[in-house]
Amino acid sequence: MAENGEGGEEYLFKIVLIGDSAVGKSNLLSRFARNEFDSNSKATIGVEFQTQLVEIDGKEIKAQIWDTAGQERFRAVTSAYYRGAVGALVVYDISRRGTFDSIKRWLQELTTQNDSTVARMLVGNKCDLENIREVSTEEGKSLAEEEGLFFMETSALDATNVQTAFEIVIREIYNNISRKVLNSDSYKAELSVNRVSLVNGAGSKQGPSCCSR
Amino acid sequence: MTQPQDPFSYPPIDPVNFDLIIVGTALSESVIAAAASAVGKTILHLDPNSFYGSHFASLSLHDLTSYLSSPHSLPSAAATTTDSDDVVVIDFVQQPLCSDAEIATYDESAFLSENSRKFSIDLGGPKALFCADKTIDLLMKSGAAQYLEFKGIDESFVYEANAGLANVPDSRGSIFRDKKLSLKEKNQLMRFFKLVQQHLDDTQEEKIPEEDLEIAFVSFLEKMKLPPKIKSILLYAIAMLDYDQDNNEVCIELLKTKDGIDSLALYSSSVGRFPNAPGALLYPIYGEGELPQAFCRRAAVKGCIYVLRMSVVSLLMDKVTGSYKGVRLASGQDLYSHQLILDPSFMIPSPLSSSPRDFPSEKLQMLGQRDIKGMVARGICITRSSIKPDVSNCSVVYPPRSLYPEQLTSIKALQIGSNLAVCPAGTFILYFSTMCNDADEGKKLLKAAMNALLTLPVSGNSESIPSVQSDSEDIKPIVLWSAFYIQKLIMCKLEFISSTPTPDGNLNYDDLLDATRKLFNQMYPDEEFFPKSTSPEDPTDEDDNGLTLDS
Repeated sequence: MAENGEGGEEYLFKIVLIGDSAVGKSNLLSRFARNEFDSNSKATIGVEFQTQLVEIDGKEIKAQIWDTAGQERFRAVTSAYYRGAVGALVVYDISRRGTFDSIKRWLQELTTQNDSTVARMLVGNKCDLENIREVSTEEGKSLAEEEGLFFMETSALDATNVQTAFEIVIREIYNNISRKVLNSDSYKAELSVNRVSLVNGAGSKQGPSCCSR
Repeated sequence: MTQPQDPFSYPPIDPVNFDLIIVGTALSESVIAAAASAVGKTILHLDPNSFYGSHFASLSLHDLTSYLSSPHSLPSAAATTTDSDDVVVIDFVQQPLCSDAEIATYDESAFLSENSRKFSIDLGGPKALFCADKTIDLLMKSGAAQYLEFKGIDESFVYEANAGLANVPDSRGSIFRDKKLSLKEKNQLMRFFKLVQQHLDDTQEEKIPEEDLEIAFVSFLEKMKLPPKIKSILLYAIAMLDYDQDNNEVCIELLKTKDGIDSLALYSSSVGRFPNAPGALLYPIYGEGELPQAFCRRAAVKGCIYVLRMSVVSLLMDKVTGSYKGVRLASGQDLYSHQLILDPSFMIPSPLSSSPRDFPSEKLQMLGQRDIKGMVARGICITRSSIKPDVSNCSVVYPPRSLYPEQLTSIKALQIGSNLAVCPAGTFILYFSTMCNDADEGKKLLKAAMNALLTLPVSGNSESIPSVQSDSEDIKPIVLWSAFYIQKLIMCKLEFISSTPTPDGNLNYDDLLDATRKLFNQMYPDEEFFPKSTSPEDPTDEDDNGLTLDS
């Protein structure tokens, strides 16, 4: 793990948001990263990722949370989107049954496209729409249990559980690293040596792919 | 391959009018999608496949085998035209760019099938980037670089007849370390490189005479009294030429000295450009299929709509003027745009089986025109060991006549190991390619190249392939799996319909991207190709995006 100047350690975790169109992925992200909510938000345009600093056990964690750029609308998320992700929030809208029915397909895609251990949370968003709920909390819990996911219902609109959901995922990633579950394949270690990045010049890259100075 | 979703199960695409519809997500199409999105064009980007990249994709072993084995055809095979009130509907046919595939599995264990998903095999290989080429600049300028990481190709070799692999002497250090060059050859090469450097250095007065710059590069090298071995290295391993420059019958266009000097300059300025990549070449982690995906992500961030597993089946033409109006999707939905870009595998059959009355006949003739500019033979081998001990990633060039006297073209090869996340630990992928006019001849060449470096398990050895004995004492790696196939080089252009270039025979992408830039400029002459954004809202200017996963 790379050390920073103050003698502590700094981590960078890539976390992806997935789920059907209009379940509130971008608003979950803007609520967590900027404490904002846009009720008029159209299909996602212009959002790359947001970086949020979180402290866990005295360590500074940079959570780099990626949005789909709208490519989920016709199930066209690139395999590269999942590359290097160590956490995922799989989101559905509690007021639209169809978005919940898609969850297994999203989980399958996540598994297919990513070899490393991913801390996964099932998120039932828009829990403020209780009066038009189509998916019960029990159904959400049950699916999460069956698939081995954390579970939480959130509302990006009124900020219910948003911070908590992200923090649970970030802590689980941190725990996975501490338990050395991540990057156990020998080729993953090979991957981290002598990488050339064209962003900010190029230098020697060391350490696991999810973490950096 | 993931099962294609039934296009009828998609919601209708909304809106129905676009500035540009693009079919296919190969590198050129993806670059144009990103460039046009960056200047505010509304774009719909479709791909009939369930994956990004088209013929530039990197696929799992299973998916690659399926792709090469089953020609892709459109749902509607009959080439017909139908009339409606104001449009003529002309059905497309789709011809696969890959043909004549020969696939062989020599691995008798279940290793390959069990690890199929751990392979990420390039369909258009061998391909790499020179550290100083224009593709690098484009990746940085467009913002696509933030989704990509690379590793350097460790070594570059040239195959010498009866002598096996020799290092390409591409720097002062490597020239003096080279045990296969005599002292005289080393001095000749050093003097030549010095001359080239002086010519390129604006502060130096000593230049190559103008008349020499216009003659054939091969003649200039002879004039410099360079021996055949050095000449061969310069022409084929550094300038990367395809055709035998000493054979005027085969080599239609001889490279001029000025262009040869530019090639040498590109190569030498690439060596050591990045601290982590000592050689001249870079290769993307996870395979070349990452490049189109990076540009597609750029386009999506700027508002481009993406639909995979969706084909276009028909062209909609204005009945009166004969001009392009739109396309019909496999789902039956009609969509309209000012311009259309098609993957080169799509074509209009000529002549059409039925022609609508009153439709301008010259338009119909133009629609069927395709320019086939030759073929590239490609080969892929999977092995359990490296062609050179302790070297994971390397390039190899076989100059003309290095394998057998009738070899008229050079062969390019690239070995990629597991440290680039394209294959399981302990395995290697070798890509081969050569230009050819005939499928059988092309594949024969590649098999000879394979036999020079690799061994087929005893039962699988073919006697019809010219066998090349290397005096190298290294034990040759054994082939676990191989595929040989042909890709046609196709180009066609119409008033509102453009076809992008196919993967070419070059090792790098510069020519392909030059053609792409030219196409963009023809379509949008008043727009800049990837303008530098100054908008504070643009994510590429935020600090966040200066971070890569390990920056």
